[in-house]
This record gives sequence, C-alpha cells and structure tokens, in this order.
Amino acid sequence: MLKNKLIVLLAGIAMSLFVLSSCSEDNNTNPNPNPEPKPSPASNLEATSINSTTVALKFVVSPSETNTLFQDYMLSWKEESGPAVGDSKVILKGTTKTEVSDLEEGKVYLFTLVARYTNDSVSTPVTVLWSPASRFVLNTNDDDIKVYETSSNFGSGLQMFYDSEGAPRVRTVSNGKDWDLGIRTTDNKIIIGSASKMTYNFPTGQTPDPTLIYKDYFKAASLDDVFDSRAMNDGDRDANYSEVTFDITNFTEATNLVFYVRKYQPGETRYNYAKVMIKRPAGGGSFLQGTSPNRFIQFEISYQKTPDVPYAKISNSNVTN
Amino acid sequence: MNKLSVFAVMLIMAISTVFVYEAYSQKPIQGQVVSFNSIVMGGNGKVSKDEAKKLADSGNPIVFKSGNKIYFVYNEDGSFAGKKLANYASNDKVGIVGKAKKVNGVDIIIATMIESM
Repeated sequence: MLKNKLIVLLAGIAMSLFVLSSCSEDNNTNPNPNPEPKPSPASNLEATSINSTTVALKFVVSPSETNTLFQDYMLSWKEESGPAVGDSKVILKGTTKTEVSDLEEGKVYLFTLVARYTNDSVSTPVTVLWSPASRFVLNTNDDDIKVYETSSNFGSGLQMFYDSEGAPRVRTVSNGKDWDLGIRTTDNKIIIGSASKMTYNFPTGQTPDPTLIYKDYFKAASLDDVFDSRAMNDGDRDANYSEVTFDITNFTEATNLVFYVRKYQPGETRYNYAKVMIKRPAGGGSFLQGTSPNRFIQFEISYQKTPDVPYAKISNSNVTN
Repeated sequence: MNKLSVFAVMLIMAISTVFVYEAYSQKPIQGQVVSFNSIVMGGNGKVSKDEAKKLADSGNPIVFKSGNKIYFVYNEDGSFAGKKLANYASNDKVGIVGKAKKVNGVDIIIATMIESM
C-alpha cells in the first residue's frame, strides 16, 4: 500500500515537472499576448532636388498618427556607398514635407524614414535614394534662360549646361553642335524637342548630337513639385528615352511642362540627366512671350553634373508611379 | 521763304532726325562687349565677364563695339547699362535690340534687349 502511494506521488511529481517544463517552453516560442504596440509606417516617400546641396522629401503620414502613443518621425540619411553612419533629424507629427541640406551633388544618399511611438517602438522603415542636382534659373549671362522663336536672330537652341561657365546658354544655328534642345515656331506651331530632330539648316560640322527625352512630360507649377521615387532610368523608363519633339501649340492648361532629358557630354559615354521645365509667363498665357520677331520661351533646369546619377533609384516600399 | 517752304524744311528735318538719329529695329545690332579704357589705350577691348564686372563696379565704362563703332549702351529708364553689358563680355557675339542714335557726336543705343548670339 505504502509502495503504491509512493509510486503515485512520484508520478505526480514527474507530471508536475513535465507541465512546468512544457509551460516554460511555451513561454519561449509563443508570441507575447500583449506585445508593445508599433506604429504603421509613412508611405509614398518621394524626393526631388532643390539645388546642388539640398533635397526635398515628401510622404503620406502614418495612419498611426491618430494613436495617442504617436510621437514623431525620424528621418536619417547616409551616402549609399559611403560610411555607415550618416545624419538624422526629427520630423513633427502632421508634417508631409521636409528638406535636407548640406549634401553633395553627385553623391547618392539613402533616406530612411520611421514613425515613432512614445513607447520607443518604431515602424518598419520606408526608404528612397536620391542625389541633389544643380538648379538653374539664369544663363551664363546671369539673365533668364530664354530660347527664341525661329524668326528671331537670337538663338533657338538651348545648351542645358555649358561647363566652362557653369550654366545653360542659348545658341544660334551657327553653333548647332552646342544645342541640346531646340524650339521651332513655324506654321503657327510651337515645337520643342531634341535639337537633332529640329529641321534647321545647321552649317557643316554643326549638326547637334543626339539628346534623348523621356516619352512623357509632366505638368507642374514648379520644379520643386516634381517629386519622384524612381530613378529617371529605372526599369521600363530606361527604354523610353529617344530623340523626339513635342507639339505644345495646343497645350492650354495653365501649368508649366517638365521633361526628363539625358545626354552625353562631349567626349563622354555616360549620360548626364536633367529635368527641364518650360515656363509660362507670370499670370499665364502662351509659352511664347515677348514681341515678334523676338518672342521667347523661358526655361528652368535641374541638371545633374555627375554622369550616371539619375537622381534616384526605386524605393523598397513605394508603389511605382 | 514762304510758310509752306518753312514747313517742308521742318518736316524734312524731323524725318531725317527720326531715321538718321533714332534708328530702331527689331533686328539686333551685332558686336562685342569691350572695355572702353582698353580701346582708348590702344587695346582690342576684349575682357572676360569677371574682368568686365570688376571694371563696371569700379566705374570704368563697359561699351559695345559693332564694326568700327563704339556705342555707349543705356537702359530704357535712362541709366547707363555698363553693368548689365558686362555680364555678356565672355560671348564672342552679342546682339542688342533698341534705338540707336548719336548725341553730340557720341553713338548711343537705348537697349530694349541684350542677348548672346
């Protein structure tokens, strides 16, 4: 009898140990029934170059902003292929745009944005790669960038960047080799496009080299508004650059037009990328401004001086545009 | 001389004043931006943009040479356009649209447009 009781007791102890042991294993593998709440990330992180040292970023705020735990965002950036440590700044709740300065043109930076709760938990990151680029509103003569109608004695061609003087310049037919883009205003039409596709009688040896323009143009009030999350040559974009002209005669919407452009600089075999905006006059009206025969179209240019830096590469979290 | 003759002479003078001394054309007068001091001292007047800007800032005249003529260029508001002209000094050829006239023997352009060519 005593022996039986001892067996039952030992069996009970063994079972208790087994149960305790099992409980301990469960604690290690099962999810915490009350995990720390974590914010949802911001979305659609996009970037644009403001000038040669500044990049602007915009995003859609995290849906967790309505949570009482929501604190702010942390934006960090570093050179894509540089040192592991970069810089960072706090972005306040409700903010959708910010700028990062003191960057270096031609270097590609990885920008990473996380949302933060007051309990120290952070969202999954959203990222975008971008590089600052030079912005030109004036030409080599410190005047507005104007390209003149066909009947004018002034130039109908635009050189996006003249390296010797560090700015764009207008060129006449006699300097056709310098042309990147051109305008043609005959038969009551306004044609803009690759200089090599312009039907001007260039002198011998002055035929423009190919300038490639992306198939679509973009409407915008300002170059500052042309945000993107993709490199200008990303994916299918790369195959959609060509020598092309656009007839903008009947484009009557009261916006400016932006073109993506790329071209080899003389002696180079790598593309320089640019965003070129043709501007309407203040208050609206035709792209052609001024008085005949010296009417002109005004330009603004964002130009990446470093070849093979198409501003950005696709973000790991953004939907393609 | 009767009144009709006097009127005719005055009319001819007025017309000649307009056409000889105030020629305006949308077609640009073409030339180069030069340093007047350099021309006076026997040089060719050619200066870089930076040099021209320094000269203009220190009160030295930057002028416009077209063929054998030296023009002093003014803005439409009557101010001397030497500083503006200096920005175009690095261009091989510059065009000016405006009104050309001679004042006391000095060639003047009242510029409405200055652009490289």
